[in-house]
Amino acid sequence: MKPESRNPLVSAVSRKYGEKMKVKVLVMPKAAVLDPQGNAVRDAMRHLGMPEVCSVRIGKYMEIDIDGENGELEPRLHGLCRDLLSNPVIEDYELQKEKPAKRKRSK
Amino acid sequence: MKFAVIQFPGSNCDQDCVAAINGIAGLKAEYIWHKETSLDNFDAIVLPGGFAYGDYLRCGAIARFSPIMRAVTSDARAGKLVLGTCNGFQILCEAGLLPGALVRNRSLRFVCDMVTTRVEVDDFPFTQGCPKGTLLRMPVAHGEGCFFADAETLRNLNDNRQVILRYADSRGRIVPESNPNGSIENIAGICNRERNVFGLMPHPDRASDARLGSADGAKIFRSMMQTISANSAISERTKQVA
Repeated sequence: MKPESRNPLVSAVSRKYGEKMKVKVLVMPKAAVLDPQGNAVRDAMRHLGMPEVCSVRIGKYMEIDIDGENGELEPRLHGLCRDLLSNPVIEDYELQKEKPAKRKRSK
Repeated sequence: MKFAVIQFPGSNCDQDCVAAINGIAGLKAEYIWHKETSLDNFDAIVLPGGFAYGDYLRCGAIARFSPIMRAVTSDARAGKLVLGTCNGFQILCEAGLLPGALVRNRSLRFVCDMVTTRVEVDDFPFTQGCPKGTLLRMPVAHGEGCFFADAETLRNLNDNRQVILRYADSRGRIVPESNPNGSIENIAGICNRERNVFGLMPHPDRASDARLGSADGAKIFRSMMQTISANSAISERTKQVA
């Protein structure tokens, strides 16, 4: 048993919905935004024997576990991707969902 | 006249701001914890520098959701003067009170240096007594101070005279060598369309005493005081007329 499921609130929710969703969020700097980190890594790769490297862009990758139903959560998730997880002025985000799997029965 | 200095977890220039403001006769600064919800008793709001919420995710990204930010936003919309320095500027951009964003310095280095900025407009509420072309020397200390805005936003900023400060050399020329972080068009400070919210990367709070190398920062706090007393004089007169 994972420690967080001992929390009565969390376990009540997960029993109710009976499913757990894994979401991956990819946040990348927009093309127009200078990415000095990416440029530094690109230059290092070229110096280390790969002159073929044209460009490197560095973003963020987040893994999020969620208890709840897919359909109802998705609009809220997109809202948080826009408001918190990315800044639309400088970044684009991509939300990838894994198929919701029924929670494994504990042995 | 009372100024609120907001303390977020991770703010570290709150004391500098309070000291700088209290150093000006007629001004009194108070710390306001970020979990407070009202700023009704204050004439102006200052968001200090630091690393609110450890700058996790992005600078200012989490701080903008602090409870006090609702009051900051509604008071800003009502016309109260709001000043954001360094991390405070980043928070104002994240909160959408100022356009654009602040990203990693082009050099990838944290810059900690004295810079010269040039005032770009006349008659701005935060730079009264500093006509266009005035040079202000203030320190910068940041890793993410490179101002970015897309082409349309930048055009609007210039057309509406919202660019208030640009990094300049000692003779007041806007040159690439005087740009400490790679900001577009050497932008160091901007305001909103209504001109009552001002964000800048340099620290006026750390340049408010000649013994610290410059007292130019105090001009910004003094100008805020002038603007507020002028505004209240106007509203008094309107009340009397009515």
